[in-house]
Amino acid sequence: MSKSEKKIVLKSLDNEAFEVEKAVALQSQTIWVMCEDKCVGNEIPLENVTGQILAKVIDYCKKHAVVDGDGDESSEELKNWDTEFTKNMDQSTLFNMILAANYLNIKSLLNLTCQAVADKTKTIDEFHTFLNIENNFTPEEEAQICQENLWAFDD
Amino acid sequence: MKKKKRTEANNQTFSNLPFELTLLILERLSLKDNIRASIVCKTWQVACVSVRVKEYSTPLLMRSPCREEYELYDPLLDKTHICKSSPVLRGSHIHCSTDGWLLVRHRNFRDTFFLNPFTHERIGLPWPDMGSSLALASSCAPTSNSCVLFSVSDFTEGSITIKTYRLATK
Repeated sequence: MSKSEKKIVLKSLDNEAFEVEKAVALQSQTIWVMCEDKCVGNEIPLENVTGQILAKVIDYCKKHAVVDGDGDESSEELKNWDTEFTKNMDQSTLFNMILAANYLNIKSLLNLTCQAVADKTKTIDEFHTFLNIENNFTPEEEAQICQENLWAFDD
Repeated sequence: MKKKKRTEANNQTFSNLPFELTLLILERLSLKDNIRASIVCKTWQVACVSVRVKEYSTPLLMRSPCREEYELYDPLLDKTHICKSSPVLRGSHIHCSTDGWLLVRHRNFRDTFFLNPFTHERIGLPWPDMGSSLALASSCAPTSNSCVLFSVSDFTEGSITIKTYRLATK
């Protein structure tokens, strides 16, 4: 196998190109299938992912490819790295990371980002502001749900 | 320019997240957080309820007749909760439990009634002969129009009497 075959170029929605090791990119089931079917050349256009998000996805895949490869790093360190990775992501980044992980079909990244959103949204106030979702209940409807489940809202 | 960028970022809302991905997030919440998340918006309420039903298991009601308390046993979590009996249940016999209602025979053997242990609502039954039944069961909650009761009595050699009662609601 020549050197160029081990590398692959991922092209984002906004035409940013990233050259990565094939082993790194193949953690995405979507890319894996594309390569397997030989329906693409060495350059893969990813029309749903921006360069900013793709860079983060590649960071994640690199980290996880290395660990899977040589087993030097403990799973605990990897876990800490994952926590740090999502810790400071804002709502918009997390939102796009979930969409990207889903589109690229990287199960572990999808789990990680969904868990991060769940962890960040433990109270109602945070739900509304962090997720930027408009409350479309009438005050009566909202009061009724609270009334039916008083124990969950008692603090 | 900077301001514009911020507005764009703020326009990204999780209500645009595909439903199946919303479910992936909500599956990770505890029952309490799930209920709290259900007042975020109507879509989230539907999503919360759909993952709640899948995860939630109702504990079984267990009872020891000699003690003034009963146990709620959750077979999935292997957990037991002990609750104080309502006074009306003390000394009575619980025949069966259907859709949250208990079918109870009073300790005087004459009265048979439905009791909702959560609201303490009581629905008396007008058939005195039920008191001597060996076994009683109901098909569904007494508030339903289709509620039918079955009783087994006169269990003698070679014969058994099964009666059905229909609870007509007003």
